[in-house]
Amino acid sequence: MIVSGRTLAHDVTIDAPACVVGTGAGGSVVLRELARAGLSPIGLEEGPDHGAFDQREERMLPELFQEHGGRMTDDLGITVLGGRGLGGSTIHNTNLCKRIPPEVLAEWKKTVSGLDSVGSSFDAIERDLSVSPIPEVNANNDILRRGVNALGWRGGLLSHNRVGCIGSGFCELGCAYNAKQNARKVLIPEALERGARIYCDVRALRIQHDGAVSAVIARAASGATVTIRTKVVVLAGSAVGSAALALASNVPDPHVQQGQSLRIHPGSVVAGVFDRDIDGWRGIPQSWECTEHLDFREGSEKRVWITTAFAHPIGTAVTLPGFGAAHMKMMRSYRKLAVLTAMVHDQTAGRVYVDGERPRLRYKMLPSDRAQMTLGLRACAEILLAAGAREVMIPGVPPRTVRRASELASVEPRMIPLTAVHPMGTMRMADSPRNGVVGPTGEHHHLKGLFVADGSLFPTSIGGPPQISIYAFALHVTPHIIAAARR
Amino acid sequence: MERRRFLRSAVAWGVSSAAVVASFVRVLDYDRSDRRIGHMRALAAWEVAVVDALAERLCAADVAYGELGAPPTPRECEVVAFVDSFVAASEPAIARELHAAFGAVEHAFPMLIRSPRRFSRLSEADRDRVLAAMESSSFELVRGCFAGVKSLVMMGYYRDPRTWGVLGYDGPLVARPAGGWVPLRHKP
Ligand SMILES: Cc1cc2nc3c(=O)[nH]c(=O)nc-3n(C[C@H](O)[C@H](O)[C@H](O)COP(=O)(O)OP(=O)(O)OC[C@H]3O[C@@H](n4cnc5c(N)ncnc54)[C@H](O)[C@@H]3O)c2cc1C
Ligand code: SF4
Repeated sequence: MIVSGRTLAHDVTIDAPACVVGTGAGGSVVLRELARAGLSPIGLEEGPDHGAFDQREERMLPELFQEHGGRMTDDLGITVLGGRGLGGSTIHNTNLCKRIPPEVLAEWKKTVSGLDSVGSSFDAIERDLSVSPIPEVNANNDILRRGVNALGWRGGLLSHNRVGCIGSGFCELGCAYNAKQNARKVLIPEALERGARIYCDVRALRIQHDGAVSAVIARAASGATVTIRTKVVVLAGSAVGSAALALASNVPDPHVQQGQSLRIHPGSVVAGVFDRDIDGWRGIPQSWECTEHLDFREGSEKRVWITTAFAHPIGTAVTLPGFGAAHMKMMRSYRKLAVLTAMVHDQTAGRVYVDGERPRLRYKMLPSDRAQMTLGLRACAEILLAAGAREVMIPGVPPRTVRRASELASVEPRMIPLTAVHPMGTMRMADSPRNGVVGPTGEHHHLKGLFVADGSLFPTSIGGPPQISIYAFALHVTPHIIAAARR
Repeated sequence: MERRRFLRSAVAWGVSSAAVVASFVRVLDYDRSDRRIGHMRALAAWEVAVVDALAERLCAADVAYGELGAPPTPRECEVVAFVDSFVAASEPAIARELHAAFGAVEHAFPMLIRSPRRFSRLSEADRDRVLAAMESSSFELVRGCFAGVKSLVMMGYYRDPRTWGVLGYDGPLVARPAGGWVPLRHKP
């Protein structure tokens, strides 16, 4: 059963064996597993159950994203996108599926026990979500492929979770064809069938606790108060939402770990102008990657993941530098543009804090990560030029237009506009309470009955698309959540 | 205090105090005859003037309006009405920040070009100088403000199918042929 908080006319109090806050990649797995175990959990989701996806940016972007798509770090330096609504960020994401790199997992195993069995969770979730190699490479991705091949660099085809995709290219606005094998399509229906109840348009405000969890207090969009009396609460509101809720609830945190160690994979884009039409908005938006500058070995100074990043007109207008006539002139090249993005496997530790009820983000990029960003932008430009771009536009103040690869060595972009779409790591796992917020079972070190099952679990950045790892880690901790709900 | 942080706080203080001072004077002396004002749900008369002024420069055409291949004007695309509905639908904390951003553009950021005038009263060339100074400011807060108002205005403009002809974009697949296609004004 799905109930919309818009329709709740009066306050409600519900007793439940477990309450899951957030219904994205992590939350949907936990809801399904609890329901499979016959435990009829309650799910709380602050956003709506999205109705139609009409492929219009001005309607879908504000609807699908937190803070209408305008969430930024507190210095307004980085736009940080995250989903809001049933299915969380899996509704608008671009469906890339890639496991956590073995080197990163090996590093995590040094501080988190029990991770040897996580491989089976990856196998199971990849089966559930029908993960398979992407069957088509659109023109924008073909440019990435051709550029990488021309340079003799490392790269390859990616995998995805889509079935019945017609290649409309509108993934970031939600799929009108229900082809995404996401949380909303695959996991939530089964959870509902087996007895889960989900309250959409209901925002969890506070966890009540007194040595152990006792309730979640939430507010419905109608203004009604929703109280879930439970001894198990699962935080799955993303690395931003989960940390914010823990902080707002004054969950004990003697080692000041909650909300710390925020990683985001900060990224920026480089556009290339070609002499022919690319029409990059057609077809599956992302299907290829360049891993030439990604080396996960310890001490590596190659921490950049490159893929494509074509956008529809509003996204492109916002991303292209400048304004007025010069900007309009660039917009006229829309059909001839190819766009790549470089994301940094970051070491910067940002943090989430709360300002009233609002989550806020602080993230000051380390010089070493800035250097990686520069490396990434130069690499994107080199790929585009190798693929035949007439010119490339490198962001920064001022933006640079480059026509030859030989010019790139002198490009030192300053004040690069950054966007991040992968918040992680604010409630991280660690055996020792000094190094993390939750233990290897996902349960909070200092509050019995409080679990975490989303991207905030990650001890570090992972340097690639995180959704499959988030689904898998949520699956990995669910047996412990089920056991706690049965306690 | 570290120098950068001090400077950032100084800018933040400058912007907010200018916005506070502005809040006393900004309601005065704006044209209220504009019929759109009566339909606004969130924007005050002064903000209609600011958003209009922003949209005219941010979306200025590269081809004279009326000529073959010229895009529609921001007024034709009703950018102000879009921004108004966006602010009206925003959570109160975000709406407050947007109002503050418009106030800062109108009353504080002209100082970046040492102009004492309001943004909406500047010449087109001076508005462009203010916007360029905002975009290239060494203060993230100012650049972030530029990015914010640019995003909002671009969303209001490029949502209009009449702009898509200029781009060669064929619109949502679920609604083809996209309404409002303007082949006559589209450059071959
Ligand atoms: C544009 C974009 C493209 C992406 N593409 C890819 C991709 O191709 N591949 C990939 O692997 N990853 C991708 N990602 C990232 C991926 O989607 C996320 O990392 C993943 O979904 C995060 O899972 P999560 O469970 O941590 O949080 P989310 O999926 O974000 O879900 C959190 C949910 O919790 C809700 N919530 C938060 N706080 C509360 C509260 N207090 N009360 C009630 N509800 C609350 C939110 O509304 C949200 O619905 C992309 C992300 C973006 C933004
Ligand atoms: S490209 Fe495929 S998955 Fe993406 S919106 Fe279109 S049909 Fe859906």
